[in-house]
Order: sequence, then structure tokens, then C-alpha cells
Amino acid sequence: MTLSTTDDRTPRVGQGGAAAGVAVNAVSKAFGGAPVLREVSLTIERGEFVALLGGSGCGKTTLLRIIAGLEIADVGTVVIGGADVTGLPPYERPVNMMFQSYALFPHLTVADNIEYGLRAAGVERAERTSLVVWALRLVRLEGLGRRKPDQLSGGQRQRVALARCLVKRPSVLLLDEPMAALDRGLRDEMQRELVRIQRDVGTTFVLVTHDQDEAMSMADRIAVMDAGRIVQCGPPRVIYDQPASCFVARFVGRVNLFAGRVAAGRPGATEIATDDGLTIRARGQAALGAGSSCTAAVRPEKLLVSRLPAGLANEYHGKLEDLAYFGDVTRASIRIAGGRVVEATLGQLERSSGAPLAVGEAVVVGFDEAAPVVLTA
Amino acid sequence: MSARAQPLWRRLALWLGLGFLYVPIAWIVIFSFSGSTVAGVWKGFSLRWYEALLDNEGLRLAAGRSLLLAALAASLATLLGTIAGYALARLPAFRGRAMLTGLLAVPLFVPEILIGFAFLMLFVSLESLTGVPISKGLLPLVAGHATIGMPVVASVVFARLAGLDHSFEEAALDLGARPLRVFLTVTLPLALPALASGWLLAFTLSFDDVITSSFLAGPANTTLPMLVYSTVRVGVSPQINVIGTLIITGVALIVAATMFRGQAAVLTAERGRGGKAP
Repeated sequence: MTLSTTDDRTPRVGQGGAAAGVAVNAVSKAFGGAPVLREVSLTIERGEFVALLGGSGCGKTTLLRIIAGLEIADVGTVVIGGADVTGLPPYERPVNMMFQSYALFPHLTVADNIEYGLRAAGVERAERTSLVVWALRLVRLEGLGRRKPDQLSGGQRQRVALARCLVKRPSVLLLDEPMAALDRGLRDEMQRELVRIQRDVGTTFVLVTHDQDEAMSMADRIAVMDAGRIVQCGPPRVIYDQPASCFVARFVGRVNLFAGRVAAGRPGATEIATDDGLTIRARGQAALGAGSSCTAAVRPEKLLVSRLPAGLANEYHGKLEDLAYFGDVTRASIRIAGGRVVEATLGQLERSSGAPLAVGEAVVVGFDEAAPVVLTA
Repeated sequence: MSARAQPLWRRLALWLGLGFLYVPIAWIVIFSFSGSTVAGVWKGFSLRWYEALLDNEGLRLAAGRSLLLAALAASLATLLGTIAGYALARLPAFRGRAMLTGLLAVPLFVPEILIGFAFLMLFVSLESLTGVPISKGLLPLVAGHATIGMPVVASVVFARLAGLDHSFEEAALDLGARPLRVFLTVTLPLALPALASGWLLAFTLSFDDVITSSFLAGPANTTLPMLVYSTVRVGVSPQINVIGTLIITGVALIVAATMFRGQAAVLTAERGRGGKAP
């Protein structure tokens, strides 16, 4: 059973209901002298789905908690829906947060858990009841209202936590690693489910995750964080195709990085001499001064592996060292002249055409001028 | 492992240990049904000492007084101890917190005789200052016994709250509940088992206290343990066996009820788990 996307029964009560944008302005936060966030600024449009992506300790959860009001920023402001909420306690902010541990109240039933925020807001009894029914239906848990949280599976608990937040009709929903406690199959299902629910209710979602696939598949925009800073913010496609730095290129997806210096920079075409003696031709990049250090980043799926040269702008002879079969793709490791190992992804097409490549074979690995992204950071 | 596989000496150690604990208690229970006028002599089954206890008004009054006192003292100790435990577990770090934690434990180590004496002095001074005869009633006893019970409650509640995930309370705040509401609807229910066991401990400490009571009771407020103690010094009456048996029965019932409830909770949880949807 699916809900129609235009659910006219969707109630408009609680904290106002309408989605709101969020603006974080130059927020810094330190714990015991150790900086966790350094002048972070981020603008989130209303109704947008933004993922904060980063490794552990990058400050992403702290940023989320500052938006929720559970931490207070040392400096900087937080604006939600045009109103400055920097000094407001969590119970006066039009946001709700779904905790990594779900934090369902163990002494209350599922329905009482969902009702908790409505009681706190002074919603009338009849309205509370119908809202709880609505929320249970939204997350497809009809009939489980009288269970206790410890009588639910992990996936059901996650849905209850989600319903408990959404029943408040928050202007912004904050999700802290919501999939961390789920196993893989359930995770994929819940990712799709979350995206569906976000479309249904139209609320602004801010998701914290360390899982790049999760961020890529769910979010409209990804803010990649490292060491307390947002290092790049943009749609998944831009993050992947035009990473702003080596860190982003490495963190999101797989990548071959060739560090070197600009040998010749003509407008629209750059020639890079790598530290291990290769020459890489790249097109369509901003002109860089000759001699300046840079790194060429090439995604593995943009590499072509063949027995004979294919006439590409960048081609290197090498030896196929390893093939790892992943079903949908095969990852090939090729040692090229100079001793470097590059990684190439072979799709179904390349694998099925002609005699299959074997480990130990001499091959040519190449990519065209448009494939490399030239990075200076 | 089957019982047969247990070496003999281990079983012997077990029975010796249990015997050491329970033979004296069993002794009291058995001899409470003896018809003899001497406490330790068996002279046929009889309920005459149970009847005698019913007629012993002094003893009944003392027992009632002790129960009331223990309930009041335990409740006061639970109230104060919960506040203290909550403050230590949940307030953000403040100056002197370590000292406060230490101070809270001090009454556990101070000899009871000192606590009793200190309260006696305090109430006598207060009385001479104000002219109100506060040292005569149950108040000094309640205050003294609550002092003994409070650190116990505080440490039990502190341990429970310290082990409790903060995110429950954060989630409640996030859902729009103000701090007082969060405390009453989330923190308190989750800490309730600790409060209950703290209350029971404080009750027990008060109910069998002789030393502090001796200082604070005054002539009109003899508690049951004081009465038993003074009776035994004159000569052991078989009625003491009866009192002992009744107390043991009461304790056994409470323990059994607690265990049964725990068992039932476990069973319910297991049933729920077994019946959940995949």
C-alpha cells in the first residue's frame, strides 16, 4: 500500500507545518579547547534534502545538534525560517531530530511515544489521536501502536522515531545517522522510504551520514565536511564530477590521483608533468601558471583498458596486476611505467567484448582529455 | 553441569554457607511455635505466643511506630536523595562537584552513634532557641533516619542516571517538552526502579536502627528494635521469636513479589519478541 503524494489528510498543525530554510552563519564550536567546528556557514533552502557527509570527528553531528539547539555555538548564528534561533532552547525551535539511537522512551508505548511531542505542545486529545493514526500510517506501522519499543525490530523502531518527529510537523527534520543501526537490505529500503516521506510531507531534511552512497542517493545537495569545515557543498553530481579538492575526490567515490606540476598551460588545455614522470593532458580547466603544483584526478570508470592503443589523449603501457570481480563491475589494477598502480573499472560491455583480459597481460590504459579534473588543493 | 558432576566439597561449601546464613533465622521461626515459656526450649507446637503478642499493646504500638517512622524516613530520604543524585548525574560540571560527591557519602562512614548524638544536640539547641518542643515527637527520629538513608538513595539514583543515555532527555526536549516536564515524564519514570530500591534500602536501614533511635526517641517514642533490645536484656521472651518470624515473613513476601514482577516483565518482553513481525 502506498500513500498518494498529495495526501490531503496530511494535517497542518503543530509548529506551523510549513517547511523552512536554515542558515548557519560562521558558527564555531570547541569542546574543552579543541575546535570541532571552524566558522561553518551553510544555507539550506526550504524543502531541500541536504546531507552532511564526513568521517568521524569531522563535526557533522555537532553542527546538527547546534541546529537542534542541543549544543550552543561559541560564535555565529543559526537562522530558521528567517528567525534567529541562536539563543533558543531546543523546545522552542521548530525543528525535530531523529537520534542515532532513536531514543524511543522505553516506558511508553509506540502510540504514547508518538503522542509525546503533541502533549507537550498542548494539542487537544481528539486531534492527538487522529495525528497519531496519521503518523503510524505514514510510516506503515498501523496496528502496532500499543507495542512497547522493546517489542519492535530495528527497522520498526526507526519508523517510530521518524513518526514521533514528523507528527510534530517540524519545519526542519534533522536525522543523525538514521541508518547506522540497520542491516544492509533494510537500509536500502529505508533510504527509498525516507525520500518518499520527504516528498510527501515536503519538510526540509538535514541528514548526517558517513556513508557516501547514502548521501549520494538521497540528498539534493551534499555538504562534505572535514576537520570542522565544510570543504565542498553541491549536488551529488557536482561533488562527484567536479570535486573541489583531493580530500573530496577521495572521500566521495574512488579516484586515481596524479600529483605533479603544470608543464604548459594554454587556455582550455593544461599539460601536467607528474612527480613520477608521466604527462597528463587535461582540457577545459581554468588556466594555471606553468610550474604551479596541482593534482589530476581521474575516476576509475573513465579509464579504458585494452590490449592495443586506442588513440586517446592520455595512454600508458602497463601490466594488468589484479582483477576484482564485483558482479556489476570488475575493478582492474594496472601497474604502469614509473611503478604507479592505477585503478580502472570495467563495465559489462568491456568485459564481454572479445577475449577477456587476464592477470599478467600487457595492456594499455588510457583516458581522454576531458576525464581528468585538475585540483590545486 | 549436573549436580553429580559437582565435587563434594563444593556442595559442602554451599550448604555450609547457606546454613550459616539461615539456621539462626530458621531457629527463630521454629521456636516461635514452641509452647515453652523459655525462648530456646521446644515444648510442643503452640500458637500461645502469637496470641500473647496480640495482647501486648506496647509491642504493637512500637511496631506500628517503627513502620510509620521507616516509611516517613525512607520517603524523605528518597526525595532528598533523588534530588542530590539527579544534580550530580545531570548538572553540567561545576566547581566543587567532586567535593560534593564525597560529602554525600560521608554519612555512610560516620559512626551512627555520632549522627545520633549530633542530631540530639541540634534538636535540643533548636528547642531552647525557639521554645517549641520539637525534640519530643517523631520529627527528630525521621530526620535522623532520613540522614542515614539519603546517601544510599542518592548513590543508587546517581548510578542509574549516570548509566542512562542522555538522548532520552534530549529527545524529549527536542519534542518540545520543557525541562520540568522532561524530568517528570522521562527522567523520573526511567529512574523509578532505582528510586524504589533506594526507598526499600532506606526503609530497612530505619526499621532496624537502634543506635540513632536511642539518642533521638525520648521516652514516648520507643521503636520496635529498641523495645526488642531492652526486652532481651531483661530476659528473652518467646514473643521475640514471634516478632522475628512476622518480620521475616513480611520481608520474604516483598522479595517474592519483587522477583515475581521481574520475572513477569521478562516473560512479557520475551512473548513480545517472539510474536513480532519479521
